[in-house]
Formats: sequence, C-alpha cells, structure tokens
Amino acid sequence: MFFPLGLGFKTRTFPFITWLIIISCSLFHYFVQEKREYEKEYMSLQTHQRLEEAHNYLFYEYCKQNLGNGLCERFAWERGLMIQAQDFSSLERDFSLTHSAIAEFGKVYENFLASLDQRAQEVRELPSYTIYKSLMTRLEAQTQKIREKYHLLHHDNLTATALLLAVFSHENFLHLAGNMLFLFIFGRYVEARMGRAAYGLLYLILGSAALGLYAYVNPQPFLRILGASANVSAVMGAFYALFFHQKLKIFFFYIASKIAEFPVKTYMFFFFMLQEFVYSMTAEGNVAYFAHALGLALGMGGGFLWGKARPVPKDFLYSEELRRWNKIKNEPRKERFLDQAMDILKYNPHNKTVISAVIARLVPEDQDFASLELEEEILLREFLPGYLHDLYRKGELTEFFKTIQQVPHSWSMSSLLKKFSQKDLLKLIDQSIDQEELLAGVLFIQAFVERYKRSRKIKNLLKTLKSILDHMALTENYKYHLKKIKDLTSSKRLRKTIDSKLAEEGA
Amino acid sequence: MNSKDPIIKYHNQIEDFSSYSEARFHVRALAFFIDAVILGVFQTAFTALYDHLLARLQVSMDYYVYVNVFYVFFAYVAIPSAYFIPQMLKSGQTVGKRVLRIRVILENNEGDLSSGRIFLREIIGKFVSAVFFGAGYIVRLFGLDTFHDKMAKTKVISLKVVD
Repeated sequence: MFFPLGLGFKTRTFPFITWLIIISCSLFHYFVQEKREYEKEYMSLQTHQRLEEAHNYLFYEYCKQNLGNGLCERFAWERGLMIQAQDFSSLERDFSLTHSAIAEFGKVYENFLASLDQRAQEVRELPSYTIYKSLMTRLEAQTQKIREKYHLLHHDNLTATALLLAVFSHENFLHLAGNMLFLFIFGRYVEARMGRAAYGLLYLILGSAALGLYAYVNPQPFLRILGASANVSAVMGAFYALFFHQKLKIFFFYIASKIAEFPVKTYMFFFFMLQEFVYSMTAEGNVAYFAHALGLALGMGGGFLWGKARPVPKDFLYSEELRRWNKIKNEPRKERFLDQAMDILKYNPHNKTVISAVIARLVPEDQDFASLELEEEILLREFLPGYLHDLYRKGELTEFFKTIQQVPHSWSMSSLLKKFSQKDLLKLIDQSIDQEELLAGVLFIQAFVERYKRSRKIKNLLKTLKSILDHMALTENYKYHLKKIKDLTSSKRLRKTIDSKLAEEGA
Repeated sequence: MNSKDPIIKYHNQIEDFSSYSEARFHVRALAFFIDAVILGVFQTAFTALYDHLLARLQVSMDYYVYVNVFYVFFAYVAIPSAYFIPQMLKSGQTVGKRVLRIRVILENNEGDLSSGRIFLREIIGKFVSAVFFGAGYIVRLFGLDTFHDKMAKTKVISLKVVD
C-alpha cells in the first residue's frame, strides 16, 4: 500500500475553501442527492427491461449468423438469452468448451457490441433490429425527460445547473471519500499558493469545464456523469505545475512502513499522469478516465499560467513566504531576523535560501563559536549537515572547505558529514589533497575513520594522513587544530598517528 | 621530510563494505514493494496499450501463442531489465533500495555489479525465488540467503553504519 501525504508541511493559512468544498460535497451527498428518486424512476421504466431482452435476442441472432457451431442455440436455451459477465467465466465448466472456443465466443460478443455501437450494416439487417431500435428510441426519450427533471449531466442535457450538480454529486461513499481525501492532500497547498478566490475558481471553472467537455464528447445514450474527480484532477494538475521542483512525502506500507520523499515531478508522472492518460485511451468500465485526464491537463495549464504570472523562486513554496522573506532578509537585529526566519522555516523547512542566510548570520564573524548562545548553536548544528551537503552537490568546494574548517572540533565531524556517502568522503579526501586544503583533508579522514571503524581502508587512509602531516608545515595554527582532533577523536588509531607526528615536532 | 615532499595517496576510491551489516527481511521486503509498485506502473501501461493494440488490430486466434510470448518477454523480461540494470549498474541501488538505504553488493564486499550478474539476480534469480511459492524470499526470515542472492553471489547490506 502506498499513499501520498502532500508536501508534508503545515500551511500558514487555514485551507478554508478546501474544507468548504469537502463539507459541501458531503452534505450534498447525504442530504440532497440521496433523497433523489431518479435512479428508481429510471430503473422502473418498463422499456428498460424490454430493451435488455431485445438486445440479448439481437445478440442471439448475430451469434447464430457469425459463430455457427450450435453454441449460440445451446447458450440461449440454457441461459435464457440473458448475457451476464459471469456467463463467460462458467462457459468452460458448463459447456465443456476449449479455451479457444470460449475466446471465439467472447470475440463474437465483442464484435457484436462494436457493430451495434456503430450501427453497422450486419446488425441493421438482423430481423429483430427494428424492434430493438424502436425500443431504444423510446427509452432514450424517456431517459431524457428524467434527466431534464433532475438536472442530470449528459451530452443531451449540458446545462449549467446540471454541470454544477454533477460536480457536487458522488456515486457512493467510496467515490466521495476518495475524491475528498485527494482534494485535502493536494488542495490545501494549491490554496495556500494561489489564494482562496483563485483556487476556488480553478476548482470550479477548470474542473467543471473538463467534466462538461467530457459530457460533450461522449454522446452514449445512457451515460451517467457525476463526481468531483475532474475537479480534483484539475487541482492535482495545478499542484504539479506549481510545486514541480518540490518533494512529495509518500507513505509506504508492506510488512514494514516508511515515509519517503519523492520529487513531485516523478510521483505525479508515474503514479497519476501515466495511469490516467493510458487508462483514458484504453480502459473500459464506469470510471471517466478521460475526464480525469482533461481535468489534469486543464489544471496543469492553469497552474502553469498562474506560476508564470506570480513566480516564486525555486526554494519558496508560497508568495506569502517570499513576501515575508523580502521583508526580513535585511533585518539588522540578529534576534529578530532569526525569529522571523524560523517562522518561515516552520512552514517550509527545506527553504535553502533561508537556511543559508540563517547559517551566515549564526557563524560568528571572528569564528569564535564559543560566543554562540545555546539556542543558536543548536540551530547551527541542525542546519549545517544539509547546508554542507548542498554546497558539495553544487560544487562550491571553496566555500565548503572554508565552512568545514570553521566548525569547532567538539561538533563531531562524522555527524556533520552524515549526509555524505563513503564514496563522497573518499572523493572529498582526494579533492582536499589536490586543492592543498590539508586541514580539511585531515578532518575528512577523521570523519571516515570515526564512522567506518571496521573498514579495511583505515590502514591506508592513516598512511595517507601521515603523508599529509609530513607535507604540512606545522604552524601554530595547525598544531592547535591537530591537538584538538587528537584530544576529541573517538578513534585510537587516528589519535596515535597524530600524536606521533606532534611528538616528532616536539609539540 | 620537508613541506615540498609530495603527498602520497595510499588509499584508493574503491568502497569497502565491511562496516555494514546485512539488511533485514522487512526492510528488503518494503524496498521490493516500492520497486514493484514503480515497475507495476510501467507493466500496467504496457499491458493496457498491448490489449488496446491487440483489439484494434484484430489479431487472429492462430497467432495468440506468438503474441503471448512477445507479451511475456516485454512485460517480465525487457521492462524489468530496463528498470533494474541501469540503476543497479550505477550504484547497486534501485529507487526502493535508495529509499530504504540498502544496497546490493558482491559476497566478497565489493560494490561493482556487472549487467550479467544483475540480470541473473533480478530476472532469473527472482523468478526462481518466487516459483517455489516464494520460498526463495522467505528463507531470508530464517537468516539464510535468498535464492537470487545465492545464484548471483550477492548480498544486500544496510547503509546505516553499525558502531
């Protein structure tokens, strides 16, 4: 089982419109729609029953003409001409048929349905087609009357009232719950980004347009179109366009459970777009995939245009967040700046622009970390691993080496570099040696040795360390750092290597 | 020595996995599930398009055997190979394994897997593991190697370092 959880952050504003839609749809489902009698009225039409019989008799005639092995007569005789889905699955048992005979019979039925749909010559020439056609015309007229009476959305009853009612109606509880759940997961972020009015309009106009378009291109006589799926798809499309560069939290459960982050672009493409578009082309049944796909496409278009008109930088989620940041980024008072920045990060903890600025403000100008307040130190320790990893990924090695050398030795190098893989650490050691950032090289070897205590590489790494130390002109500054590393490291072998070098130098 | 002496790199860039412990059954099962979901999307899309094409082209029943061989090859060999081989060649990990921070390595703690070995493990080996009612997977619960790991001489490690 897997389930999207949205961006995984709280929104600053209450998702009023999202809740309003959820409550309206639920109330409509339980107090308005349920009381309607249209389904009962439709099913009680006598023509309905007679048309089914005529349809099956027509198939019997078609089958007799096209299969010609006596199976149609046997089937009609024993099953009373009624074709049900389960009939096909029991054919093998009841009629002692081979697989290929069943497949052939199924194929004849499929061809019959297709020919009937296209009113093909071979069907029109069947003796009972006239009766079938007149019943069909009568039923269509009766159904249209019911549609008009209850404002049901259909190709032949495409009115604003019918469209609006269809958007708030659902087939059953599961249909309602599924739609509303996905609306809640994605809608609240779209609402926070677009604002209430624009979001409400997107939901109503684009979603309803998709549903209306679906009804317009589907003239099947007895199609019943309802549900907010197209509207929810429009919201998901807008979410995709507006939060394209963000990550989505997904809950996975199978024996164990895990919440993982996936890029929005990947998730939406694989789990939603691909399925919706493929199904809309191919699937049959009572789910209007094409309406979903239309809603998704319109929502994506709407979201894209909105994003172009009111752009926010990649690190930001909402316009409001950007506005707050612009207001405080030049704030001279450190305490006030940190308060406001933390308030922004509460609703978007991945905002790298704000995190970098917080780190820049927290690192003391004289690099004396002892002067940091406890709270400031906690913040810095929390943000530094991610910040360092970002610098490395962006290739900003000069800044990376500079920052790593400023950090006090008491802050466990291995936890500061916890986001780096073994391969990354080995690369960093080489890069620091190549760029003559020797103290950084020593720190990376320290991180490796402390983290991979049982690694067989430690022996050679310590030999490299010895070579670095031999190469270094041991100034007072270097001696100070090496002494600190020696005193604080948890690795005995590292301590011994540094100690012997310092003893050699008479430090 | 003086400061002009060049630094000698005694180490190399090859990763050593002896600090890592083997991944547990439930972690591997969840990673397998995530990969199955992703792979399932591709397989479903392929199946839907395949069925659609078959219906449109009105292929005769006489050719169904050949058509089904083609389907099985694409759905169960070509698509999974295209999913597993490039990802695992790069890092020994698939999406599911990356999420769960586990990795496939060779039995002798070396990291680089060849395409042939990945194919043997992911396609042939997993078929063998599944064909005996999943026994090839379940043995891991009792601390034994899965059939596909045995066949490909691989093991799965957890990238969380044990202190």
